[in-house]
Amino acid sequence: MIFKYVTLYIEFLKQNLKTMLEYKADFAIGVSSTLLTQFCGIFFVWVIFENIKQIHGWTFYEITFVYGLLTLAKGFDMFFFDNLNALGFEYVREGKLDIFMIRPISPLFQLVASHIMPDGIGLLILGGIVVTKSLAELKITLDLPQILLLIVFIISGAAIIAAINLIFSTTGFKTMNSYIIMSSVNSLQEFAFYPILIYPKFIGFILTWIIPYAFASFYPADYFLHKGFEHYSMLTPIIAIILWIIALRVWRFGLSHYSSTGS
Amino acid sequence: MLGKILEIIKINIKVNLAYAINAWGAFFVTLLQIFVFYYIWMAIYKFDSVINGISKDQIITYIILSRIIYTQVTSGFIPRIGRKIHTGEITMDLLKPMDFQLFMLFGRIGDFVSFFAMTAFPILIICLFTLGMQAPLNFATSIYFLLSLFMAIILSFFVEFWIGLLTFYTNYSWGLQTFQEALVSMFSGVLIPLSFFPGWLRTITNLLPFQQMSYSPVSIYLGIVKGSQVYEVLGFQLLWIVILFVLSRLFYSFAIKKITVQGG
Amino acid sequence: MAIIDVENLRKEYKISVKKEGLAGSILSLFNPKFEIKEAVKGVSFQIRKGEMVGYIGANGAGKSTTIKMLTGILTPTSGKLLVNGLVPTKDRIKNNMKIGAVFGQRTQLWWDIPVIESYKLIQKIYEIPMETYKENLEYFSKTLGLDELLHIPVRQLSLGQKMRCEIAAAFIHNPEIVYLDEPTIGLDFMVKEKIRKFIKQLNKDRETTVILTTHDLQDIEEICSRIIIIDKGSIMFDGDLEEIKEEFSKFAVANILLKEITPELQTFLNGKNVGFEILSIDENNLNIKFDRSQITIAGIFSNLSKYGTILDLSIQDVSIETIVKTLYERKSLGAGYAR
Repeated sequence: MIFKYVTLYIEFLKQNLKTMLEYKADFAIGVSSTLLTQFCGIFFVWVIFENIKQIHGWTFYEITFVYGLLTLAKGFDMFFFDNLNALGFEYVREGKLDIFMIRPISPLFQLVASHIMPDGIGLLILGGIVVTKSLAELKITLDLPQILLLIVFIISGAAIIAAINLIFSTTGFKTMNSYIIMSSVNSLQEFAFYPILIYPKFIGFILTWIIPYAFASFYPADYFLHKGFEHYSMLTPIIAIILWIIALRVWRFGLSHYSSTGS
Repeated sequence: MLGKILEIIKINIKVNLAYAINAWGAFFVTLLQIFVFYYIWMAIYKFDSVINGISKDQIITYIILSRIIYTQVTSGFIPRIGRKIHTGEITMDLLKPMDFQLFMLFGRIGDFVSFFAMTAFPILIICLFTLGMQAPLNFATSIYFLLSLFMAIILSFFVEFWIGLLTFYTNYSWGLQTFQEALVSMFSGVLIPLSFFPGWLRTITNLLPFQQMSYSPVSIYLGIVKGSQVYEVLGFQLLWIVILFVLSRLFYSFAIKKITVQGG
Repeated sequence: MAIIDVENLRKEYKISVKKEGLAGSILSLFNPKFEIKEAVKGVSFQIRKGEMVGYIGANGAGKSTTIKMLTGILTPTSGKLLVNGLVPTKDRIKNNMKIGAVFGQRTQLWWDIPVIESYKLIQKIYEIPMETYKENLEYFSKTLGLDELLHIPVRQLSLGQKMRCEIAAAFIHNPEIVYLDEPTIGLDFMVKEKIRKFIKQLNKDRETTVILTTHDLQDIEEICSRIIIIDKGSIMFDGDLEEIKEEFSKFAVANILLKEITPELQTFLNGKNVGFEILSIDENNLNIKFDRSQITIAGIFSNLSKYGTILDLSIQDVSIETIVKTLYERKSLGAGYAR
């Protein structure tokens, strides 16, 4: 069964990639514009650090490392899961969801697999550069297990962001336009780009236990930076799994509600 | 003529009201970003009460004003022009008895009015009571600020307009919008007061129009520029408006030729 | 053994009732009021394997609601619903393997990629064995003329081309039941014919059960052996096509445009010996229904010309709406057709 979904996803991905490469100009603009936008954050931190030496005990490259991790997680989420945003406006409103529902495979799978967002590559490039450079400047070298752990953290971070997206995108079943809610929740990510220590406790709390974006950036970063929160970092994959269990429940509820009210 | 202009502004306000839900989005996101940067800046100012000639109190007002202006200046105007070009709607607009660019400009002003009422004003109230804000130095300053702000909006229109015309060559107007947002982000001062920039970066910034969109009005408001400097700043804004107007006009007539030859 | 078994199927919707204006909207946030709308009011029928059924009714009659329940998209409020022995909403995946559908304006093919790539994806989704897939693809391409279309992205196809590909996609996994919702809408005659032939042939070769909803009576005439008419959520008629045909081929509907309706004409029309039934009068346009066995259009023409100048005359196909209306009248006169 899993095998079927994996091979199916690869097929979908192949088709999506083919289409992506057809629209070359859009691809170039999309990737470079997201890259540039994310770069603004680095730019910001850089200019600040031309004027001061540390923030809350964190140095420039320590902060950019956190920033880079979230950028990578965000990039994966954007590339693979962007279609969740379209649930309400496109699939429910136009009835395309019904087509998904008469096929013998999961509608959620079809929603996610039908579309990729190449702009995410811009985030992946920038994130990759920033993370690598930060680790180098911080003189942190990683052995193989640590590299694997870093990859696990990044993937978990992406999973966390995607799960949160999924939970809020189900509002699209009812409202047929989840844009407002999604962009509002996504803007909480802004906080997670920087070490959450600089915020008052209640914001840290929200970002840790309620909308856990901090587990996509701050906590996994601290495994390598050792600023006192390392023990939290190992929770990252667990949080990702728990969030996905919740998200799938919410989705199932949304779908059955859609099925009984006909939207 | 004036009647026509008022009509256009009114219609745009009505359209904006219909999309009130977008206003809520802008409100919430902008407010959130103000708070994010508030905390970051408070952390930056933890040990110093003045950095680069800007005090802690000033920076709070700076963030609030800059962020609100930024939201308005990057309000998705480019995809709107893009959509007009791609759906062919623009050919209808060109038939109207008013210059298209002027038509769009007044629409923009209508946008600004609704933005102010539905988004900027509530944000200002909230920030006033939660974060505290500084008042302008004196009455004259507030007048110059408003003048500068008005010019900033006009200026940003021209920038968006000609970037919008670029959608000719590409489908992806949202990509162009993002580009513009990024450039404005870096060089308008919304992220950091430009006085923080190292010298060489400042020089580059001075060659670009973006600081006129936000930094100019805000620096007048906060008294970062005083006295005769204010006139300099206003003068530069005017100069940039003229330059951008000419540029966009050139681009515009070139684009019109293309549209009318290609048939949309 | 029925392949589709429906008993007393109901579907109710809760619709929120809002008062007008801003105040009303705010009020409804705090005290939401609901109205119950019954879209399907206790529908029963059984369909055997291999039957080709036309499921027709006016817009809003409950057609699409029923189809959505049969395909498992919508959960019924109450009643028995078994397709292939399964409850569609409970055993969705199992049921979906055995059904195919064409939903009028919505395409199940992927927009930006060549048709053949969509088919490949469908093959993987429905786990169609390679041999069956190849066989069907070849056969469908031949019968529907798909060869030149296979390598073109769907977005570049005309409506007729798209529909042909769509129909093939619905049948390619050898489903047991195919639901066709307005499959020929907007198509030209040649394409319609091709599609109808295709459906009939597949039903003959593979005993595919076909449920067709359409406003095109020609579709029904050529494809369906059985007709179920639904109106306002209830079944009005369930029987052989032949029955209805007989009844309704007797009747014709005509539009007569007169120069003016003179008082003499009005008197004639109000009288008892008109010879036809007046469906509506719109300014100078008469919309009438008449029994062909009783009177000819020539007869009507000559009768009316006595009273005024006839500017234009055209004969219409009997529409579903007219059939339904007539059935209602029959029903109220006690000639019970519904079973």
